[in-house]
Amino acid sequence: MDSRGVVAAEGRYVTTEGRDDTYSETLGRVAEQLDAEKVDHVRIESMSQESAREFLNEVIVKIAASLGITAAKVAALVADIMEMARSAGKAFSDAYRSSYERARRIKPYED
Amino acid sequence: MASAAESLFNEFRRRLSDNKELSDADRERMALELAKAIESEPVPTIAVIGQTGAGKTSTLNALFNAGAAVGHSRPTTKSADSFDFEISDYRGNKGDIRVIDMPGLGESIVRAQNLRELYREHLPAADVILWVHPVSDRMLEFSQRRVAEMFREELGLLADHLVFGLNKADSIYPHNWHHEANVPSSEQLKHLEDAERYFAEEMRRVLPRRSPFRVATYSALQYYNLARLFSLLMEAMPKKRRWVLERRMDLANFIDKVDPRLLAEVTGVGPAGPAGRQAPAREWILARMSEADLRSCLQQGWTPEEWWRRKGDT
Repeated sequence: MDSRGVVAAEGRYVTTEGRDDTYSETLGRVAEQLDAEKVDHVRIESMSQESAREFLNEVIVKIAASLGITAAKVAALVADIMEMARSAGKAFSDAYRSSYERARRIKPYED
Repeated sequence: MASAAESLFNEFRRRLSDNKELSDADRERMALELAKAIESEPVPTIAVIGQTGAGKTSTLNALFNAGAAVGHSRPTTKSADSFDFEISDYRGNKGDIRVIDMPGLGESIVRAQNLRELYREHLPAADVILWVHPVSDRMLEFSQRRVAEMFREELGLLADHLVFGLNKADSIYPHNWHHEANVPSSEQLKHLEDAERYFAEEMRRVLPRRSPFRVATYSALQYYNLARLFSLLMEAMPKKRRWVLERRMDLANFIDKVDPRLLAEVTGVGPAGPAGRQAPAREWILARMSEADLRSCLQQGWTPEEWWRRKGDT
């Protein structure tokens, strides 16, 4: 327990300032923070994918031109990038979610 | 775990290798050229502005090195005068970041004038500008003046890439951070909201109206709200370069500083093991027991922990 607060018998998290949060309020705040982090991670992921897709799009066309590959031959690849962004996005979300869930697994408590 | 950008590139490589339209040689050359293009993309450059003690280094560590201190960073440019200005290649866990470490905004007018030259020379090279400010510091007048001077005229466009980070959320009045839960107390939360609102109002006044205003309150020390700060940095990056930053993201994990027992309460995931669910601290259990529960505990001869486990089993 933090030296600045104790859990009182009636279930309130009492601070040295004399005001307190209920235990459930504290738990609620942790849950909100976890949710907020999840939302931010999804935003980060989405911005990154959109940006990587644009980069890929440009680079592939340039590479094809420099290698003398006809536009028609890379057209399908370029078109795929849009769809790919969606499926990779889903894969990333799933991977993030599972690693997030793993991270939340509780380590053995040691007194 | 691969970054979102890497997942996309990997998926592309897989599709490229399956592509029947291209010859084996073309596929190989294309994959090789793509790898070169990805690796030759310049590292992200972040200008970090803030007074000494604002937490610039700990912020970088929390964003790009999972909270651990970087062993070394290689300076590429250092100012010859008394300013602490430095450009260095910061080695994060996921790759290098070029950091333009800007001095605090100084106190004297002469110094401020010189700083403006410094900003004019170096800020345009930055992908994103992170202005770190302690959230408790409400003396904004000087910073406000500097912001107004910096982001007008030819540097005005750079305001589009500016993010304000209000650090040290954990140390705001009345200094009663819930360390077990790793969240602010309700009193602190109110002060944090007020401080952020005040800061935003004051700074908005002096920035170009058309520029987006971005501010995140966080604690580098407690790993609190780092994802929020990072998402704003991403937003402020040039769109085509966002993936370069995300590829290097290695945020210190907020939950690492949450008491495992409390986290178990929140997530409903208890530690599995031969002994079954791990009991939380006794005072927490007692705080949640009714008189009837206590009586039943005494009658049965159970410890509070045993009561808690049994309750969880039913």
